[in-house]
Amino acid sequence: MTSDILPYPPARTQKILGMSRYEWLKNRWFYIFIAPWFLGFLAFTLFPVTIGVLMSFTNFNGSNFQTYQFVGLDNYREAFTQVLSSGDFWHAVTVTVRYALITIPINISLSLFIAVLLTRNIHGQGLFRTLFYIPSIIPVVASVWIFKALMDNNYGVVNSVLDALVPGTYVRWMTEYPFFVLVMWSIWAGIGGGIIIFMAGINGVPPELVEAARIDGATNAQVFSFVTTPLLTPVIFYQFLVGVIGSLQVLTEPILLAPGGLKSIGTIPPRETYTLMIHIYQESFTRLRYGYGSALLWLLFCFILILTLIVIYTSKYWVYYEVNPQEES
Amino acid sequence: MTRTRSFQRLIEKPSLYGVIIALTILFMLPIVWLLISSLKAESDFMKWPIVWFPPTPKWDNYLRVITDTRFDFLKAAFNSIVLALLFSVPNVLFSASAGYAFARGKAPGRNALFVVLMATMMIPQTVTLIPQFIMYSRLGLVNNYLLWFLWGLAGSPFQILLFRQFFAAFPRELEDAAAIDGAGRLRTFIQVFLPNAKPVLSITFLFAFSWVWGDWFNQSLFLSADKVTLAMKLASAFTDPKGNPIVTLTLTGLVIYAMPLVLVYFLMQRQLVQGIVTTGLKG
Repeated sequence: MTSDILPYPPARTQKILGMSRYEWLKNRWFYIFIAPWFLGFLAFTLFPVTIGVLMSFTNFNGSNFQTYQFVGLDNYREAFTQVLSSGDFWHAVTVTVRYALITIPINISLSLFIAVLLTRNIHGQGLFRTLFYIPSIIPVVASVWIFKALMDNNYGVVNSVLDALVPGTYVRWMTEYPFFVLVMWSIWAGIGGGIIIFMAGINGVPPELVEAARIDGATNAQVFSFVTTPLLTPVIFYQFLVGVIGSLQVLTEPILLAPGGLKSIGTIPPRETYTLMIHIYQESFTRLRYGYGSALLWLLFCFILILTLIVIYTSKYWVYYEVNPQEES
Repeated sequence: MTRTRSFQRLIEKPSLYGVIIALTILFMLPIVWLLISSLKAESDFMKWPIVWFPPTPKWDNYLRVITDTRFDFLKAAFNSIVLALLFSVPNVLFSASAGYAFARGKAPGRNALFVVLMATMMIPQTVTLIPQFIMYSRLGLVNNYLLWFLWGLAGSPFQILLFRQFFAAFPRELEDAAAIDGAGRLRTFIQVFLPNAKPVLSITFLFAFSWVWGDWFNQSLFLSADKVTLAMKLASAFTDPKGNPIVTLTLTGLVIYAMPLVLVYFLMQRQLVQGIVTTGLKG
């Protein structure tokens, strides 16, 4: 049944967008309704993406609009040389990859662990879930400041506590271990969302499956590893993807965590937290090498894309997909 | 067997609560400490060994942050609100219209367009950073709030998806009845679907508003000091006239900055959890 009132059946066979006049009148509302999104997609995604590809083959510097030249693969070649000679670009890549490799598994396993605890038929589930999510609600500027003040070399609480436990301990967290502080921050501020999603997943496990396993004599640990976890693999898979995409682009937090009170987007953090996006920002906006910066952005994009494809491709070996014939197309 | 089971039960519950409460306290400590520090005098804050609690809580820290003309806190707060509204109002409205179209439309090309929508979710925004910056500076959109309005007009994939899921579950009878009464698609959308979508409208509005409110990256990239927002202002420490940072007052400002979001979150928990679960989006 259609809810569209049409003027009259088609008399002519005029075609609009490959549709008959009847079809067009029946469906044009759809195109009008999605037009704002689609125009936005063209203007803010497709057009910049195209320009970005072209720009990466030029020596564009932000002002040579008339005189820029196509330099072929020079920008990419330079990035490759940086890899071979362990230049700044390569250093930034290793920092970023290390950040992703450390934070993603910790974030996923810790939020899964807490979600399992919270779904064990306890009082105040909702309250605990809320409390764990608060760090994720707080804007990043605020949560990073909290960590800066907590871990401060001179007046930080962490050093005070350490000093009380082991007198004489004094660690320059912000200057000697900024990477550690960054990881701590990302766990603290990042696990709330994961907990909510995992809790929904665990609560969605059909009780009869757990019941059946229990009747067969399964312990809690066995139910968790052979019933709950396999059913949660789609969620873990999704969390993993989002984590990869997000952590490879990290830029804001290292800048805000950098020592010193005055912050702008051009602030250069310590070398331990000098991530790829920060390097790209510096190359493009500080050294005005937009062409080279674009090439690096494309390398980052391809890297994310390849990782995503690998995760998706291997997912059939470790992600359990329930077959649901009634799923809406 | 039964004996070990019941013994297990007996110690299991208290230790379960023990672990949960210990973890919660660990995660809450930074926030509690932020609140305490926001009430300290700077001299107490800087003391070594640490002064855990301020001898007398300095409530006028809050007053000072808001009223001190040197910090210009209220102007930045006003700017942040304007910017967030400029983005979130059109964002919610046009995400809703696109979500409605994807939920109910059967037009040719719908599925292809939906694939495009899903694909844009996977394209990192930062990849288009440089071309976007050049484009906006050529169009005079740098240091211009209009940019956020234009972003809002385009909706956003996550929000569109939320609306699609919600509208897809609407009973067909509703719009059939509207159609019989002679309402077109636009009227049906505005008078039937939108008024019945309050939970999604509020949650998408919260997502959009808090995205702008908390987004430091785009604001510090595209705006200059004369259009400063709270996120930009609070990224740097407040300073005394000599230029020395005053950390306590900065922390006080951060409490005022973060508090509205936390409060709204407490009020809207249920819808928020639903929204997060539907999209897999993390705040």
